[in-house]
Amino acid sequence: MIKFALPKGRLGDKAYNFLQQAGFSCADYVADSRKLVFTDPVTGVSLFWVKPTDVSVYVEEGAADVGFIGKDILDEYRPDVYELLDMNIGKCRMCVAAKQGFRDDTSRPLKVATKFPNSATSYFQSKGREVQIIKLNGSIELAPVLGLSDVIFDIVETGTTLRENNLEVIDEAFKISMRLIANKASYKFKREDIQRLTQELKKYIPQS
Amino acid sequence: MYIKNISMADGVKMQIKSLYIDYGYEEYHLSGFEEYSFYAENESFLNSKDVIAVNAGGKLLAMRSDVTLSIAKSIDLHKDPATGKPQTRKIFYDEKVFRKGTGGGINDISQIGVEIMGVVNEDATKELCSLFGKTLAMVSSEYAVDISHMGIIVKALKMLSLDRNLERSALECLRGKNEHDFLRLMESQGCKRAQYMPFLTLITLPSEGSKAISRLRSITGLDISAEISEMESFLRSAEGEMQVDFSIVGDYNYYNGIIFKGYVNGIPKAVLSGGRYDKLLEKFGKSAQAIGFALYLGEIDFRNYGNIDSASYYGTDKGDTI
Repeated sequence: MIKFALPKGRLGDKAYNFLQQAGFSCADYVADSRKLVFTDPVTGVSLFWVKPTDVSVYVEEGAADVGFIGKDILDEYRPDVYELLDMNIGKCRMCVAAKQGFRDDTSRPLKVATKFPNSATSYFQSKGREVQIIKLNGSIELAPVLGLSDVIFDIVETGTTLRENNLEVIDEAFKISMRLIANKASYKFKREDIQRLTQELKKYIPQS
Repeated sequence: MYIKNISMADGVKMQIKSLYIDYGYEEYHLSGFEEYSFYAENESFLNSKDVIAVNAGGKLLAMRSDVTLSIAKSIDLHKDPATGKPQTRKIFYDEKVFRKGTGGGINDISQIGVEIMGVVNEDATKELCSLFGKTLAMVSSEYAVDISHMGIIVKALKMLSLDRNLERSALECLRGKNEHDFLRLMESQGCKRAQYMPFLTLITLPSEGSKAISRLRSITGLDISAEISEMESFLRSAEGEMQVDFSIVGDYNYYNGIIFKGYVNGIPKAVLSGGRYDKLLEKFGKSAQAIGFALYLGEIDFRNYGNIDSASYYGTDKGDTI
């Protein structure tokens, strides 16, 4: 039996489609049900839906053997897990953005508004730039517009929100997409099942 | 002998300690504190473990966060006047380490382990293999051990010619079996295929011992034959299931040979880890070899685990005295 943690939402639905295609469906699963855990003894699949940010916790702590998660969350929380596949969906970028025409005043720390304080800290450390991190939980684009921060460190998909607020990307930190992760101990004891899963899933990953 | 009301955790601990004593290991005790500067100087060995500082009468101390580091610093390894080689000491410990908990409190975590310091020859290595197999078997009959080799990792890493930051990224990919991001990293740095193939082979290596060794032997442009032989010898000494997994990565400033981790079915994290760490002794000015391992008792819920002869600890009659 392989236990899957799937992220609630559009990406989780796509992940489940991958699993169905790859032969890891769950007959018990009914969309929009209030049931929390679905199990199919025939395919050997048990799955449950959790908040996207919690997938790494469920997998790292072994409540799930494998899970689907965005690279943005992996980079922020750095769980001790295997990252076995890039599913090549949910693609976007982690970027630094600022008001159009922004010029960095290097005589003082750069104020950075973000939902991803760990990722932002490690990115600016790698650049050797001293920063003051301002942790926000949403509407990050508002911060430079209202003078709360100099720049934002956030996910950019199409860039429309940035443009509508007179912001522009000034640097790209890393590319984001959905990844398949596995618990390290589960990998030892369910090695064949997890390797079969990755081999089957590989066949359905869209090309870049 | 009969002991009443002893927990399974204590029972396992007693049986493990008795095993080590039978093998001729002496118990080693440590102080619960170190000078804070000691941990600051050896930060990378601690592998991001938090250090808890306390101010004791104006002196900044730290609660012990690693056992091996303290033993390597404090142990006396006298030279044998006849051979000029350091005497070999075989020790075991049963200690606690102190780490910051996720809720902001302090966790004390029990560890039990062994160290062989002085001369680590093939016999010593075989004995250690046997000991960690027997140790894990006392926790559960379903256990697995994976081995890796820091010497091979470092040689493959140096072939990439990356700066320290990017070396860290490459090692992260190895730790996570992350082939896709490693290939992106190589592409972004303009690394040639011949240059990164050895490292990529480590990421994608099969786990089964003979297949892994055969793939390692096929690596070209890297002189790792001595290291491979060392791994083969280690695999031959294994008593239970042992596989090869280069996602086990230690700090290369301290570890220089085989490193390993032990897992028990149903526990989500490694419960045992160890390896060869001559370089750590070198840091403390001790010219000797060293190998050892620790069992993390804090990871094990003894309501579900403990594979010992319980009769010898719980007793079989109704007596209540020792």
